[in-house]
Amino acid sequence: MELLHFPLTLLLYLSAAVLAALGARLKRGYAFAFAGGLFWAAGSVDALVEGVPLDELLCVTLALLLASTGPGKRRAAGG
Amino acid sequence: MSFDSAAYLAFLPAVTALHWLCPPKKRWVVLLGASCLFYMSWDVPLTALLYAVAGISWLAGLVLAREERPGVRKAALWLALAACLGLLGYFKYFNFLARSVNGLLGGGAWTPWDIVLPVGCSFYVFQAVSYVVDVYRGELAAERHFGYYALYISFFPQLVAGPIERAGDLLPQLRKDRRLDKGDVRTGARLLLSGFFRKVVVADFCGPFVTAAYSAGRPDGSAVFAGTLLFALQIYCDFAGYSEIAAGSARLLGIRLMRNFDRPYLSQGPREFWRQWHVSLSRWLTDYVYIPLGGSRRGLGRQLLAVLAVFAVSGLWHGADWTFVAWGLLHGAFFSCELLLRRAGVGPARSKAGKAVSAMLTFMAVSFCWIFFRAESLSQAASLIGRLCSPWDLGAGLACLGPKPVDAVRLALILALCPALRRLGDERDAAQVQDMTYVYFFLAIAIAWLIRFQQGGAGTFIYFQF
Repeated sequence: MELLHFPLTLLLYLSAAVLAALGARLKRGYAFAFAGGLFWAAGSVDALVEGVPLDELLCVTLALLLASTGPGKRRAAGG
Repeated sequence: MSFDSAAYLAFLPAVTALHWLCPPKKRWVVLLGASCLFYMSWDVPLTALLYAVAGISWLAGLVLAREERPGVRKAALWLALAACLGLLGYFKYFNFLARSVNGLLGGGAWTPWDIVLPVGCSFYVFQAVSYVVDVYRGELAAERHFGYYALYISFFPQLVAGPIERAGDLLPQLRKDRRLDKGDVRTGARLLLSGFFRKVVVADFCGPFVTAAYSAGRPDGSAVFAGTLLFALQIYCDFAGYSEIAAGSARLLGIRLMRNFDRPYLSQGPREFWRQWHVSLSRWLTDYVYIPLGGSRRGLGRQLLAVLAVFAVSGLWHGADWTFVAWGLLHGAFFSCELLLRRAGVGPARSKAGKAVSAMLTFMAVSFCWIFFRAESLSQAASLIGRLCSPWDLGAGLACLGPKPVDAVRLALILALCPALRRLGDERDAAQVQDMTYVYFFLAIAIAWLIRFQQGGAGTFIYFQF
């Protein structure tokens, strides 16, 4: 996976995932969820500039989607 | 104009806006015009056939409503059924019959004709038949306004691949003075998002692997196994995705279509599966084939025969080929086995483990049947089953499918996202979905669309061919 060769992109995406997961878990986590979205956007711009294939970008987006749904949690917080 | 085309993305908002801007009494004109245009984008000359079926069934309905003599009523019913089903038979089954006769007699005794199957023919003919039979039975008042009736037959969201709506459900909604409702718009958008995700992100992803497994000369058993499981996922997401886009489109217009799928792969038996898979077709076949054949009222033998007949019809409805008949009869056999087990006092599982085992067995049985549905011929289906039963070589299987590591990650993520996807498509669970989740769903669809354009592929829905 080419994404693994770009530490900055990875860092941005990891931060996005953590924020998305926090946004899903916390009661008023909308700010975290929104910040996660911003990190996703920054990571994606970086990834596209570096020439990461769209397949991998899609996988990251799906992972963030999963994190934002709060897997394993019965009811997600509103936001 | 396929639902997942750029043209539809412009067509739907334009029609929705025009519909709500129009005075309520004239909205049917907008919808009928849009439906006609939608169908003409597929095939201009065959649009006449669509409205011919509408005209025949509408006239039959009027005769049945006015006439009280049983003989005349029966004649009107049979004439309408013969005309509608005759057209379907000609377009869909004529060449199948020719091929079968040639296969039986050997050689080219009967030359197949150059017949183009009209898009959505099986769906709108079944709607027309249900209307005529319901009016004949006295369960439905005949529609006197041809415009509304033609709209019922050709309503664009459900025209080419269902759900097969009943006139009793759809006509009153088309006639109603609908008001723009925020809740409807929100639900419609959510259904569209969920449908597009299923189609563009999941079904289109599975397609190439399924094709690789099913079109290889001598695929390894492991490739057939993986290809079949992926086809189970592909066909479900393709058709359920289509149904959700249809329901979402209709909802934006203030119209509720029936729910066509309800977690079918979690069913604990064939009976439950058919209550949750393509619900509109199952109900149609129950009401217009199974019950008239006697249903469960005339003894076990007759009931089993009726079950097999229903599933053979279901198979033939799906496609004019013996593979579809075999697919239908296999489902009929599984359904009959469940009936016999219930008669013998073997009830449904009660424990959690028992339920899980039942669901797993049902999924494996359904997936096995998909081999016949996907295969090009009965001999290919037999060969694929033979490959499944021979020793597996995982290396050869992987080489046949050719997945990249990123594909495995994508598949794992898609499977993990199933509960979230269910919540998105379900009105009752919508409150649990976060705003940012909608954004990520949208972004995933947009990226998958870009990938499709990059690869130069134009997706089409599997059920459009039926």
